[in-house]
Amino acid sequence: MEAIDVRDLKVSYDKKNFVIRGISFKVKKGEIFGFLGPNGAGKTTTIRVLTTLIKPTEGDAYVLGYDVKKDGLEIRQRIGVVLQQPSYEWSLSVEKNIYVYGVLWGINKKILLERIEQLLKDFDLDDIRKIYAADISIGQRRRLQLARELVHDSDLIFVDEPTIGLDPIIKRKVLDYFKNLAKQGKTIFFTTHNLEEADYLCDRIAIINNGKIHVVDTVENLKRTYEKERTVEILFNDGNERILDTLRERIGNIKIYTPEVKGEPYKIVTYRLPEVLETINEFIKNNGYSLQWFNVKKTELEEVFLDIVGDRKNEQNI
Amino acid sequence: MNKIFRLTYRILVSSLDISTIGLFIIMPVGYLIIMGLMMGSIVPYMYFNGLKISYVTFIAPGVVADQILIGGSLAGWILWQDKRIGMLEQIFSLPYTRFHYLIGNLISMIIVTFAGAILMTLVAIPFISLKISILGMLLVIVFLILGTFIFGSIMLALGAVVKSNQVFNLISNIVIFLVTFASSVFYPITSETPLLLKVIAEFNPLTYVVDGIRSAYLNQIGIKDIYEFFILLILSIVFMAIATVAYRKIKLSATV
Repeated sequence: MEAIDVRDLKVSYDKKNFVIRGISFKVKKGEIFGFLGPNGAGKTTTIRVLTTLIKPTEGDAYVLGYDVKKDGLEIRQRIGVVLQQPSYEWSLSVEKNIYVYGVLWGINKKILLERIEQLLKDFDLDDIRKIYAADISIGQRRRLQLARELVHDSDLIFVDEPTIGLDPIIKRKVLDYFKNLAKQGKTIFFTTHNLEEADYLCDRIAIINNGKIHVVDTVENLKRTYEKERTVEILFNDGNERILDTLRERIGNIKIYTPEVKGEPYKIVTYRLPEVLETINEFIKNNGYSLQWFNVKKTELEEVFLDIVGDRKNEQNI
Repeated sequence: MNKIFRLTYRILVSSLDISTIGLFIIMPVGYLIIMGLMMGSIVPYMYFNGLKISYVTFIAPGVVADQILIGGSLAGWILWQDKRIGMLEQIFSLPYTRFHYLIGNLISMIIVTFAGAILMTLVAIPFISLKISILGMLLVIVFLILGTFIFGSIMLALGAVVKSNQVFNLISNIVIFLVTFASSVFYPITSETPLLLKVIAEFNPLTYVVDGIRSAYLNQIGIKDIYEFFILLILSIVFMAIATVAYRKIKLSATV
């Protein structure tokens, strides 16, 4: 039995426009499943259906063998949910926040107090345990939200963009915490648009955009598909458009991504690296432009993601 | 512990911090002392059902009845806050239903109302001539519960539909001000009362709660209180129905 089984799921908030447009996927027990997509892709809506906060408009979804349409309480009894939206009791201290949440879960007081001690240490909240949630930083609140959800035992944990606002050290710590939970047999459903995180954490990922799943595979398989592809990052002091035009003329089947921020390098994704390098070299010799940034790397998950999601605004296919 | 009691615990613990409790106490005590004792020199006595009583004895039951506004507004405020800070959605992702949350909220406001009513009665006892029977106590309990349900429902409906903090605060302040001062808390509604005020007071459930509690505290219970009981019962059913409809329509934030 899968932890999650989604079959042709569709969701519409206004019964006209569908934000989820027929998605299907399965998540195995004990797996860390990454649900990737840009903002507005449908990640949170999918989580809201799977955690029974909203009902699907069409299609079916089963969580731990229970039907999301009929068995809301049974599902919610067995899952943990860290929502994207911040939520905490402003007027209570950090430790009291976790305590009250533990009471809501009906945890025995002695066990609850022991768990709180452990979670305060695990999430570096021990020093601020007596401080009101209203007075702590965004990152500390996010850690509180995560710690609070782990106060109870659950078979499946949904975490919606859990690392927003966390510094790199804490972020890694949190990701490792989830890795450990998976080793203990828990299933993690993890949404993010941070590809580095997905790469580090997830066994398999699904990439969703515009309410449609484009691919479900292991990170390794996705990278292997793009193994021979290379990404060239270039930025000239001047004449960037000219070199890009030259590349477009000479070499077919390359993708060029223009940067969103001025001063960032252009990305050229290609299977024909030698020809691209030769063209750039000739361009420099003939025109005298100087390079400000140059880098060649293997295609990473980020490029795979961009390729699959196909952000037309930044992509110029030739 | 039962789910509803766990939610009640959570509501009380998270919403009743020292400053909130302080405010809840200071305002009615202020009414009792400033209005009751100090105004007593200007208004030496009042009549209730033909009984001549001191002004502080007159307004003490009103201040006790006023606790239904405090309990009721807490219910709406909690719902509004939980919507705003994301706790409503988080609680609904736990093994709780909307029904659990609603009942937990209602129990919390009843607890707050009764705690306030007992406290105000204790504060007032040295200054008033309290003559309450067992029947009177029962009547006070029933009227406080019905009154809290009515104002709790109004505030819950408000908490369910409003979209901004300012609107919620503004409307709830207007409701509390209007309901308190256009009632028989501070003065009797008589044939000499201006017509507009009289009409508003007649439609104001607090007037009936105050009259009932006043009758009970002064041992003046009569047929009029049975009539007032039925009015409050009907109003509580109507307002509870309205609040339930508004509450059921709450949409959880729809981040895609």
